[in-house]
Amino acid sequence: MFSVFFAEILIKIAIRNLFSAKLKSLILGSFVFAGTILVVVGNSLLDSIDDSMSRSIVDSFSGHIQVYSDSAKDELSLFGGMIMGREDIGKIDDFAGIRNELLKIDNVLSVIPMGIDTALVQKANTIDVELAELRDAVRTNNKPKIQAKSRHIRRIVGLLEGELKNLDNVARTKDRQEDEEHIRRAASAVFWSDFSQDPLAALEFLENKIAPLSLESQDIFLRYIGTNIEAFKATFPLFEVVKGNAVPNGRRGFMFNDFIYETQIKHKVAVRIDTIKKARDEENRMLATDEELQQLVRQNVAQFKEVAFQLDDEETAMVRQHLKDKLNLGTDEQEFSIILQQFLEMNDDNFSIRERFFYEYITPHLALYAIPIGGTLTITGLTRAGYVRNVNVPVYGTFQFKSLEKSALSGGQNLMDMMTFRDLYGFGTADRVEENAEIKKEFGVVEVARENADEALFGGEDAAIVSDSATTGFDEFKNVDLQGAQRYTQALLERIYTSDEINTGVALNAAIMLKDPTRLDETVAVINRVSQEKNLGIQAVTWRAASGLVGQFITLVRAVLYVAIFIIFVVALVIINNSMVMATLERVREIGTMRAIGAQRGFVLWMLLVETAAISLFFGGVGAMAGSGLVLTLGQVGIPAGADILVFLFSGPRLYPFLAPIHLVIAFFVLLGVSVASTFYPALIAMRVTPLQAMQEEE
Amino acid sequence: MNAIVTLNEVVKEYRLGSVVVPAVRGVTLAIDTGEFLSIAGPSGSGKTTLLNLIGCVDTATRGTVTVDGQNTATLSERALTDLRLHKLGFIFQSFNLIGVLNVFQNVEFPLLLLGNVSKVERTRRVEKIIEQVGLSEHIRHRPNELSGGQRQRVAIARALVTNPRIVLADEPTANLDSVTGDKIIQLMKHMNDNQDTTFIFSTHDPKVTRYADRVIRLKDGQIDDENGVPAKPLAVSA
Ligand SMILES: Nc1ncnc2c1ncn2[C@@H]1O[C@H](COP(=O)(O)OP(=O)(O)OP(=O)(O)O)[C@@H](O)[C@H]1O
Ligand SMILES: [Mg+2]
Repeated sequence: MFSVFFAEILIKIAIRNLFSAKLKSLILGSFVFAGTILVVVGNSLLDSIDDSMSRSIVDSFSGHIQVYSDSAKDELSLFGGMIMGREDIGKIDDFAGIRNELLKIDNVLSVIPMGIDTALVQKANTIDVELAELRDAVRTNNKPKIQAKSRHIRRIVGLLEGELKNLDNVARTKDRQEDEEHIRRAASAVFWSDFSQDPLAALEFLENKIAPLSLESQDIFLRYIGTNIEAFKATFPLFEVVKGNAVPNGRRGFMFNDFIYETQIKHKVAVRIDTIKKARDEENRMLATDEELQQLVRQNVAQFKEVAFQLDDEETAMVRQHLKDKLNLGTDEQEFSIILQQFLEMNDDNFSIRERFFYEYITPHLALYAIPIGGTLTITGLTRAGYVRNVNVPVYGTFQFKSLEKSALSGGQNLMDMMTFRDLYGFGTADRVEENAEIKKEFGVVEVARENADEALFGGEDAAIVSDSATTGFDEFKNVDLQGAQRYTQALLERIYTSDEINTGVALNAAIMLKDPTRLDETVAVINRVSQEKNLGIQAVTWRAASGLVGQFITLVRAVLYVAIFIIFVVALVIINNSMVMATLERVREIGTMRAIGAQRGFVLWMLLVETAAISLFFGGVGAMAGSGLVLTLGQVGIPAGADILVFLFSGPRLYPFLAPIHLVIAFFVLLGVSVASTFYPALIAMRVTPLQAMQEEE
Repeated sequence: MNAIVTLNEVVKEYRLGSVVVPAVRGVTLAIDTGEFLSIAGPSGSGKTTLLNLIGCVDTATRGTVTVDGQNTATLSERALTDLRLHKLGFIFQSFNLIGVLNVFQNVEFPLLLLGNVSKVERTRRVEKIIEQVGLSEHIRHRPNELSGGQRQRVAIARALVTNPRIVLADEPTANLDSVTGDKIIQLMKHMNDNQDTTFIFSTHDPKVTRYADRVIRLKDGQIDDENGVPAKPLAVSA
């Protein structure tokens, strides 16, 4: 029935019709055009983002596959789950054994132990630090140091007192009144002249009554991955050291994520100045117009003490002189705090100069980072048994995941060695427990009887224990010789563990890198089967499943895109349908004539189909070409990641989208579906037209 | 001579709701091959209805219509369409050309529907017939660039290009001035003389009927025997 002759006439009529109704064709065409561009570009972008995001996640710390205990109560969620508090993902008791079994599976390249958790870290505030040093000076009877330190503390108390004067009398509660009395006492000349008579009592007063008032709480929560750092470095290509060094192989140690280090550990005033600088330089924002930046300036002014507290008399004098010389700020009569506040009151005109001044003349006198590299971090953790435990661990440096440095998502994880992790968690192996006990004995650390049964059960021993912990329920070292504990800590930190030792013991989960990532799902299935068969007690999930919402992100966006495409094409469908119905009604006489002359119904159907198909394919084709062109151009130029979250999704500062033929195939079928569906109803009308209708008079 | 069309006691009734409108009331008629037949009668007498029955675009309520030996009542819709394509040609009162196609393409259309005529053959036949109706100079024009008379010539060419056995024309001159109308009838007559194609046309213009070999006069859906001009004897074989 259908012949070339048909095709010829159908196409001829279709094209004639399309050209005779240019506007209609254009309107229909533009819908199809827009829809096709959306299909091609949207799919390309999503696939590219999916690709780059998977690299961000897989190559930074998830690996292709994650395994964890199959008796876990919660699902593994590498970026933190929805549950408030801790998820319970169980534990892998014998990591070394599991690792051996996993390495037997042919597609498995490497297996890295992990334990992800959150712990509390105390950032000592200035007055604490100064008081500790004063106490030390008193103990060693170091007169000049006592002098210097008490002057510094007196200055801090003076600043606190100065603040009191600004307070509103009405709002004073009883507690407040007491606090004020303490501050007045500490600020009085008598208190300091009497200091040398009973320095220890005076110190106690300062430590207990004044220090807590000095500044807001300095505790921060850190999310960290306990891991075999050596293996971690070798496995995850995005890992790179930013400041300091990586933890030396086999050592205990901690590495901050540089993002955390720069935003949470750094001096707050400096962080705010950095933020303003970045906003001005990279986002073209202005202090004059940007409410958020103005807020930062106000906070800096209000919290000038963060700077003032850290400067002793000498440093204060130096900074005061520099401010006067370089910036022409302040007179000799003015109080330093007023000048400092003036300095911090920055605007667009003076920001750049003051930012440079701040880093050149002020920060050298400040503890720019609350926990310096090379310093020691005190981590308070909660063992599985609910026992609070403190460990000291040296900070070797900071790291970042290459090109993801700006991203808060990948910047959330810090790194810790596996040994410290196990100690903190209460998962020490029998060998280690014994070893630690021996070192303790050797250095004269006296063991104190344990009341906690859980603790005995886990056999956990604190690795590098803080002696003067104020944590409740932590009394282990009350009677212990301080020097001994310090030497014990030192010995532990110098201990070099072999890879075998690190792998032996508990891990919470493990990352697996594959030789052939395309066989991801298959390998997950193999691991799960092997675990069943050999009773390994583990379950494997893909990186996507392990990433929780982050992993589902693309699926969500894709759903949104498809809904958008669907809506566009439904609208197109309705419009095409309507205009085809109109066109058909207008052409009843013509169709009737054709039928009278001898055209079968099938011919009429084909005529309409070819017309819609011609529109769809032409504009769809143009749309597909335009879309492909756009994707290819973007693939060359790259799409800049404007927001920090995009850096993570793009796996770098720019996304270079790629074009896959499948996107064009999808576009083609979508178009085909739309044209067929939109022709259905008009075709029905057209096929009902009888030859008799050709004879009806034109009105 | 063989009858190319026969009608036997043909009745056509239209149903408008509960009212039955009889349009043709028992017409018996035989038309010979090569006749140039006019159907005349006042408005509403059933001319168009009769032509539609012969033209296989409508079916009789009662009675039999035979076209080229085939009883149209027994044919499927598809077969009727095929019959129209191969055996019949239509000339309409309002020309009914396909607006988006030019003269050549309009005339070529039925040949394309036939599906088995080569391009060369098509071109030859289309150009020849267009020349015969005197429109060679307008071969690439669109219908809206032509006068009414020219359009009707195109329609005649389109009706004849497939060499049909019968050409049906319902008031082909009604939309034309009398001079042009006359020329169109003359052209049809000329074509009829040259080939053995049967022409059946309706008109209520007495001037036009004089070209006819025979005139069938209708009145209220029946053949008006008293005023009829049976130029040839009605040889009806029941
Ligand atoms: N589709 C229809 N439905 C109902 N009645 C119809 C229909 N077609 C025709 N008729 C009626 O049938 C009768 C014959 O109509 P027909 O059109 O055949 O007359 P005609 O001779 O062609 O008239 P005219 O000279 O005005 O064209 C008229 O009474 C008309 O009203
Ligand atoms: Mg009529």
